[in-house]
Amino acid sequence: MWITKVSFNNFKPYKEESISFHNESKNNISIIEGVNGAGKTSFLEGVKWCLYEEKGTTYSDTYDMIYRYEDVDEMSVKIWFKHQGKRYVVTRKAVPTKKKIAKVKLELKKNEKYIFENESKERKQKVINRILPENLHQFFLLKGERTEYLANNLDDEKFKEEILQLLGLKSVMNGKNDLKDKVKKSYRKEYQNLKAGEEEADELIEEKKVLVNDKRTYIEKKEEKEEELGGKKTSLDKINKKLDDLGGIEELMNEKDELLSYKKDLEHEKEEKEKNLNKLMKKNYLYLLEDQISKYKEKLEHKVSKLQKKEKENIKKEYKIKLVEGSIDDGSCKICGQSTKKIKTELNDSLDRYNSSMAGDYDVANRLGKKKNEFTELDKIINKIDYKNPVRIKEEIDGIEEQIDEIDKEIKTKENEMGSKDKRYKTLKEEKGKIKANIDELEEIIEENEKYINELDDEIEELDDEIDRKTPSSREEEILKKKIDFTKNIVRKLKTIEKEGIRKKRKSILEEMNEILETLTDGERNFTKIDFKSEGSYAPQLFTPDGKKPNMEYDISDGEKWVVAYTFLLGLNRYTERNAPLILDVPFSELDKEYRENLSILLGDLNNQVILLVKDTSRAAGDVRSLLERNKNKEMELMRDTDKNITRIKEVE
Amino acid sequence: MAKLIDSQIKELIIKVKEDKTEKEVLEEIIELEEEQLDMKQRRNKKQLKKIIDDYFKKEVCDK
Repeated sequence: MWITKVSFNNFKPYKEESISFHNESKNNISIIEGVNGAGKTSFLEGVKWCLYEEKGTTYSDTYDMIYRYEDVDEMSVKIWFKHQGKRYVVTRKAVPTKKKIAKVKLELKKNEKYIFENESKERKQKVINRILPENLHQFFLLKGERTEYLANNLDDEKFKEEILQLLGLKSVMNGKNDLKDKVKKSYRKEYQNLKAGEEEADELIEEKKVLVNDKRTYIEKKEEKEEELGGKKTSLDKINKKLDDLGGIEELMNEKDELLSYKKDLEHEKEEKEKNLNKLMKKNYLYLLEDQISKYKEKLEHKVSKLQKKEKENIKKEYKIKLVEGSIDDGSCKICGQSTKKIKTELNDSLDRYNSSMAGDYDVANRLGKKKNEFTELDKIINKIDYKNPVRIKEEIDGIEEQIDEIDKEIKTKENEMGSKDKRYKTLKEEKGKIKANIDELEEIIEENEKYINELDDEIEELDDEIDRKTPSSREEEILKKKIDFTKNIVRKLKTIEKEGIRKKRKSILEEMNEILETLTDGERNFTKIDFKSEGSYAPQLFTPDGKKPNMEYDISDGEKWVVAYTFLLGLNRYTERNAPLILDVPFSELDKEYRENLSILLGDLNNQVILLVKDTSRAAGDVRSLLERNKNKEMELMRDTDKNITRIKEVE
Repeated sequence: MAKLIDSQIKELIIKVKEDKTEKEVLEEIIELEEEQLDMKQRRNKKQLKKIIDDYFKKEVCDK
């Protein structure tokens, strides 16, 4: 990674400033000079904010990094850099609202084209982290005081992990651990499941055995019943044959049955008619009194005739009386008109005689009327008598009886004709009926058994499928075992690579560190050797010429601590393939001139881009200028304009 | 794509490898882990298993 340009817009003391660097790895050192408060640390923080949105130790919020002397619409830092032949531009922007940041945006260009333009900030950040991981930037982008902190804390687990990552070993270690803890376990679990499946399959096989036994029982029962059915069918055939042998008996029987049935119908009809006749006779009871009624009628006719005669006589008598009475009253005869005065007495006598003869006969008309009425009523009764129907019915009944007698004769004839064959026929028929019922029952049982067998077949088939599913194939088991072994093997190899890698790299780093220490100290200092404190530790340990190990916190000076830190950092940087820019904020401030000179030489020898943020030429870098000049890329001066409260960046020719 | 595996690690892989496919598996695993280093939550079990499973599929196909 090589930074070619950095531009600031409203970032801390910078209003609108930019710095460009030559893209020449030979001249790798750029110097940015500035007095206290000019903006050196701000430059470093600007780079960190742009790449990682890091707010730095001084600020709790991005808002605090905005140029504070006037209201601004936007703050941004833009970095142009090259990495593995590709050109990248990272732009981070923040839009302030009242005392807070509305949103921080990240833009990323690769070879002049926006990438992941519409995707999340995290997606773009991932690209940056791939180039220089966020947790590793502390080994490249260093504030002065951080250098000393590093020297004292390299034993921290966090640092150890980061150093391993920097050395390209963390991925090996993670791979080893993930394979061991996740993948191998997962395969083992699969294997256990496979085995568990096998156990389940065994249980299912036992279950299947029970079902197969049940099926066998049903099959045996079915076969037994089928045999029985066969027997019954043979019997049926025999009976049918016997029935056939009885020839036309069935016809005769049918004819007899028909006759019996007809007879029954006739009997029924006769019964009905008798009932009807009985009813009719009950209703015509007068029919039984017909003689008496006739006699009475004759008597009545006689009486009526007598009364009619008497009535006629009475009429005559009444006429005579009226004539006599009129003749007496008129004094003349009503017939001849002669005077009756002389015969009045005789007439009165005649009248008395007539009247006396009439005595007792005056109600003749009345009695005659009554008798006539009685006669009329009697006639009505006689007329009501149904002479014809009962006779007809009786005749019909007689006819039916005759038919029945005929039928009885016919039946007798048929019976004679059949002899005892019909009984035999009936017995056979009954027997046939029973056998047929048996056959039906057997067929039902067989069908039921067949149904059970089919159901069991289905269940057995399902179980077979399940067993197949649960039973691991030996191939499957073999492959899984192989996978576990293979994973173990890979874990072993990754462990070897990790172990060997760490050993080799630590050895190489130590060699580099000792070389760097010798260069830094010219081999004339109090310390002749540097090593790691212990196995697995990355904390440096100095050795005195007599082989003693001073306490790295208390027995060495602050300047010496800086020497140790640079020794480690440069050793690490020479060795790592990250090749990120080293931006060092006031790197020389704690170092003696001799150390400054030697550090300048060492920095010039690095392949990394080096950007030095120095206080001023006289104290920090002035006396090593000639050395830095050898590999100078660019030199800038940070110009503080206190009136306008801004810092300008001026290129030094 | 950034160069993911350190050249010295590559050398070590070559040193410990048994065959070409196994070397590829080692490289794939390390590359996957390298890619996942910056992720807060690594979800690479499935991917790692896939690498191993693919290797075995290839093995089965080859044999």
